[in-house]
Amino acid sequence: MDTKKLMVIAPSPHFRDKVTTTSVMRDVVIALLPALYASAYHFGTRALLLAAVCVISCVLFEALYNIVVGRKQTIGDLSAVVTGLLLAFNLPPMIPIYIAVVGCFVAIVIAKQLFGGIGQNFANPAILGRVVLLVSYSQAMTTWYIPHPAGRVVELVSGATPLGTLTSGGTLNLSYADMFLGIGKGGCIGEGCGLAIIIGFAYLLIRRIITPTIPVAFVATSMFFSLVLGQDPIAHLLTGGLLLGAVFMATDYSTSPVTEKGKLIFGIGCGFLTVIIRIFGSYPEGVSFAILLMNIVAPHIDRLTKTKAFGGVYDEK
Amino acid sequence: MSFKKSLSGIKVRHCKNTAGATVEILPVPDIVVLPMQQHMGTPCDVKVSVGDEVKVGQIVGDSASFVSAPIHASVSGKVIRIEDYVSPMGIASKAVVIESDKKQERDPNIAPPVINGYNDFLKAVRASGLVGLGGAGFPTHVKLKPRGRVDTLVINAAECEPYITSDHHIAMMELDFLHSGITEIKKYLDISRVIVGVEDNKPDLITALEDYFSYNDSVTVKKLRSKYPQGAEKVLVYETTGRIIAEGMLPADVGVVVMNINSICFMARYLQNGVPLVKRTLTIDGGAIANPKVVTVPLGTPYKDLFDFCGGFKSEPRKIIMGGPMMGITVYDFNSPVLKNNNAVLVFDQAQIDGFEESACIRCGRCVRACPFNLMPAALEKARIAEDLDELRNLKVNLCMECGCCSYVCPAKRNLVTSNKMAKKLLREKGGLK
Repeated sequence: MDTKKLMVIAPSPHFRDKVTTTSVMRDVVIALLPALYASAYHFGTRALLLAAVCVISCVLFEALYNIVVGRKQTIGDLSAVVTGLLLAFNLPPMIPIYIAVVGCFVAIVIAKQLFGGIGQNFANPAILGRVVLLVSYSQAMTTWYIPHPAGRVVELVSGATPLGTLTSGGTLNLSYADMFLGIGKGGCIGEGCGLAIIIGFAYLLIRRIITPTIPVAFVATSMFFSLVLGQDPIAHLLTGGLLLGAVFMATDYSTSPVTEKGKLIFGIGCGFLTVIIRIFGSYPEGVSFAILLMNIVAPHIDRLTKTKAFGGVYDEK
Repeated sequence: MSFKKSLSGIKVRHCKNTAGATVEILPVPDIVVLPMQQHMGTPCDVKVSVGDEVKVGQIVGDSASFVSAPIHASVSGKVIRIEDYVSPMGIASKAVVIESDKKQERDPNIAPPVINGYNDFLKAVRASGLVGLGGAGFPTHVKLKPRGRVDTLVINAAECEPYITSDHHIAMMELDFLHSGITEIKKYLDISRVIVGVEDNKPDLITALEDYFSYNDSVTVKKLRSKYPQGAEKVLVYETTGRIIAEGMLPADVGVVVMNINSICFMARYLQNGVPLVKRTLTIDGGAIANPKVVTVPLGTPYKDLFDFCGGFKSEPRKIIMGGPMMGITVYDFNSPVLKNNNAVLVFDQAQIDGFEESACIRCGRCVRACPFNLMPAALEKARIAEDLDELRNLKVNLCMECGCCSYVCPAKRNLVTSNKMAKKLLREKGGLK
């Protein structure tokens, strides 16, 4: 027997789970695929082009950043792919490509890498990218198109998205089913089809990538407060980016609390702020701002929701 | 009483490849190495000299301290060396090396102990050399002298570590000894309830125990979900009795004595025949081992004899583990001896040591959900790096039992449990931890 190689000395445990950062991110990408399919169905190749541009730019920005500052290459963890897809999903279909690239730069370089990379960012990169674009290129970011899947034509709509109509007190001429499927509904490319997002949500739960706490608390709270404030809670649920935000953006590991109790508080906060901004704010959509604000308080929620150890004896306060 | 929530933990591959094996007996090795510290407590002093002829069961090391256990010759033959030895845990002691004459002659002084009362019983258990055979190596007679009143005996047959099957095999073969051991303990301690905790991945053992004790109302078999670490003392006591061993407490403080099933069987046998702890049964397995086996071997047998007995290696050995894959300690030396508390030796190949490279924490929270004691390993790691002693104390790093669930589930492969061990050391050095 050949035993020339020295034995490895290492700390226990000597077994590790198969789940890796890369496999987690891969699962998130898979969970986003139904929504990507829906966006292509509704907005045609333009949606796919946007998604491709965002994914490629995000990965390139991360790779370049790592090269420039001499850090270990991290693009293999696929987190930049997730950011790229999410940012694309938060853009209107006909937005100029260069604006999308600027958004990717903000998301990856400013929101993520400058703060130390994966796990260190204080705000969700895709959301920060979107919010910066929204305030910098308000015109382009709020020019909406209605999808016509039959001929894959998109038509410029003068005026508001269904959510805009809803929050300004107008009546919608869309059925709940159409809203749920994203038929004839203007908006960002990834948020239209509630069904696709819920399929992704189920996949994330089955694969145990996320727990249901944040999405459920988020959605339930916004529906509750929209009802309290006299608006149609189902329309609030099915229009705008509520589902996309609750399932994919608010659940970002880095920027949400770690404990289940913390997640509950976080989800409720997101839901409440969303409705407040939607109904009283100057922007029709409040999901991004709500999540961004809650991202900022997440470390404080973490501090207040530390777990109590089994059998721990604590000083009386 | 109140709603009882079961503790967290992890589902881990069982790898109980040798569960169906027959226990084999290793041929007497050429030499054995008997370290003077194979237990928690005071190390033994060497009681023999180079050149002495020794018989099986003769004392080669003992100490005047109560918290200690004597070491006995496991083969007959001649003491050829007394050498310095460093255990895989890094504890230095002397070791007696005996060259075997292969005759395995027993020490003629061996006789069943004469017991008149509790003190004789404790003395006898100490004289047997018995320490916790499940892995911790705590001298058994110390456990049998609990501080305060105890009413419950919890027998640990969980064997929650992957691969390890030695307790399972012993228990299946020695139910009579188990019964007699329980009877002996009940004579001296005011035990009203005996609970045997077994993970449900050993249905044959559960059935055998239930059948055997069906007439006996005071012995119950508690089927535990196969979830690591069910066999950890605090977890086992909670899952079997619902009692919580709080910070700073011992099992005795909640009225419980916990003993490993194999330890009880050995104790009963010793009380009948007086043969001290000179051999043990252990599982030899892992990806590199050609024919995994369960083997009974003299204590002090060098590992390489075990590997040869198992047909050598089918792939290149890269990591030798004393114990299970979750809490076992790596060993670099093929001549490392089998110790009293050594329930398994695993040899892993390259495929089993790949994929351990650390990357950044992604704050996924898996470690928090996995920790049986609700600790926050990722937050503890941050506090340890920042040397924030207050935070380490607030987050109760002292309660970490080092089971390794956090490191196991971490997608970034961070060595979280190692960080906790380092944090405890940091607190000890800076005077923050008793």
